[in-house]
Amino acid sequence: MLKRILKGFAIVVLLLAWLLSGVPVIWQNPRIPPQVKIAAANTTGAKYPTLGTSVAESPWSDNTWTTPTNIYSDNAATANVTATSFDSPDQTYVLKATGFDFSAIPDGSTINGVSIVINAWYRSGQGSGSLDLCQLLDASGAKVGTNLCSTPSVLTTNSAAIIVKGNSGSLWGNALTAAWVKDPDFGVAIGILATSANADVDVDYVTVEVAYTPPVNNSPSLTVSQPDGTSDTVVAGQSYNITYDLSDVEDVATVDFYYDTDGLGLNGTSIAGCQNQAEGTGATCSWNTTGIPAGSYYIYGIASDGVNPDVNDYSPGTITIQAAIISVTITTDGVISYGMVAENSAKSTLPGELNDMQTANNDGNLTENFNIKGQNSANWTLAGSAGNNQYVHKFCNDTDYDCSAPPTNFTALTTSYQTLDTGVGTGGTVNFQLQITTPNPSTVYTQQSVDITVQAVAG
Amino acid sequence: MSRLSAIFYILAGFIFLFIFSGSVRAASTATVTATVTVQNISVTVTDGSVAFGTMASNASAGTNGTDTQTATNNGNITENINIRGQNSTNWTLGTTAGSDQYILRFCIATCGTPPTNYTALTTNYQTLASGITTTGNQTFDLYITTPNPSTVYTQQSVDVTVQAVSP
Repeated sequence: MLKRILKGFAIVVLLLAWLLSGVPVIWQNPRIPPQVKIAAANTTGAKYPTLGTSVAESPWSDNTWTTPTNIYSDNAATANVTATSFDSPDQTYVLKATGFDFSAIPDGSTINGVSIVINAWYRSGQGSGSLDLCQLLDASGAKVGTNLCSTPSVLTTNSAAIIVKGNSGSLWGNALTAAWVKDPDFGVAIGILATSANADVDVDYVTVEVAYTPPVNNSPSLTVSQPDGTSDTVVAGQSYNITYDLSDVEDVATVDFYYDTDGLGLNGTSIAGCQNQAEGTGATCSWNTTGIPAGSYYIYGIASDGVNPDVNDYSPGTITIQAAIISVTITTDGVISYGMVAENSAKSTLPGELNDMQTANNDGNLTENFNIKGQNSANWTLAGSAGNNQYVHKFCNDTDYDCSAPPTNFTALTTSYQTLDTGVGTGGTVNFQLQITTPNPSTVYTQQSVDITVQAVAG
Repeated sequence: MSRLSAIFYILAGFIFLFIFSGSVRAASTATVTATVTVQNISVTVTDGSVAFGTMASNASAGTNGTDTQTATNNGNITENINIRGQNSTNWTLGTTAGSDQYILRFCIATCGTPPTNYTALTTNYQTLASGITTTGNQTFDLYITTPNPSTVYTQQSVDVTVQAVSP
């Protein structure tokens, strides 16, 4: 019985350890177990001010501070009040220490507390004093919150004595924020009360330390939804839209995409045009598959917010890239017999004559452009006008143009390729008519045979 | 697995890849073949020369049985053949004999009893024969009647022109 209880207990402990440690990860989206978020309290460390001012703010308005800027560091130079008129119960001007560099505090941090250290004393034989003003300043340099020296702290003649006010959990009666404490006008107001006649008081330095908790920073959330393996087939050279959701609560996240044959191990190949992709819901990145070998590929993304560890996600299915096949065939008989034609006479494949229109078919798997060229015969030269043993062979795209009234829309073939049509989709056809004009004159009367070549190239 | 078996399977793999990997072509071509022949319309006449000799005025002579001419289609299409005569230097070609006016007739069939079946030539083309196929020919006879009277007694020379045309 005890054994069974111990066994069950051990299982529960292991389960909790797994859930609370966050490892091992058995599922990425959603992550199981959830990622462990580390919330750590931080401190800025003690910072010296970069500005010291003496300001009369009743009731701290009897005697001004000499060299208030001497509070910037721990040295022999002091801000002081040594006027002979500084008698009890006079109060010094307000010594405002500002210009603290708290830029290290992340925006959005929670401010937990502020502590200050004041190195102050009164001079031996020169009266006495008490620190009666220790209050924080707001972003406009005004005293706000609780005066932690409302019960005055008695000074001594020890020039090494320090007075500590506040702590890592004290907000001094304020709702401090990161923006507040990072403002250059934030700081501390100090004032000293003379407790006997002709007091001379010194302040060597002031430091302020802020305790804060950085905001919780979540990892980016990434889901690659396409390809899912359904209707995800393209021909190499075509573009494919990778679809994904990417978000990050606190930061700006980006994602880099890769293709991979096995969907495992994040060991694929970078997709050049799909790096540093922005956040979005149902966002897409167009992948130009030119040069990608035929095959099936998983797509995965690796997202980063610059703060947390990268997250990744594989597509639920594969994209299939087929090899590009560029092919054209003549689906008609491919033979034109003009027969006997008088010199310098024209004859065409139009219905009123041979009625032998030809058709070129895109039987590849890419959109194609069709080009066309002619050739010289054994005894005749192909040219733009009829001449001595020089013939003309013209073509007309009967799919896109009216070829019924040559030479309108007819173009003389040359021995170089010219465009017959562009953007012919897979399975698309282009009808074309031809018209020949015999030489003027011809010195040969034997049959001449020429090829008209139709070329397909990627459209 | 023996080494031989391993080699066999490797080779089989390569063959499989070769067959099923699909061809990738940057361009493809297809051809249409066109043929054409220029028409050659041509006719020859053999022997092409008729010498009627010295004749009396208003007298006739012919080639039938002695110098029949042959027009041959030596082009590459079926032809129609036409014929015409011409005036001589001093005589006019006519349909009746007159003063310095002569008659020249042609005949293509049953030409033994001129002028039966003969037609007088003019200076314009008249049909000699139709539908003469390549290498085919048409024979014809000529029959001349001299002027009545002739005021010249020198030799007169005329051409009889045979023309081939596309039907």
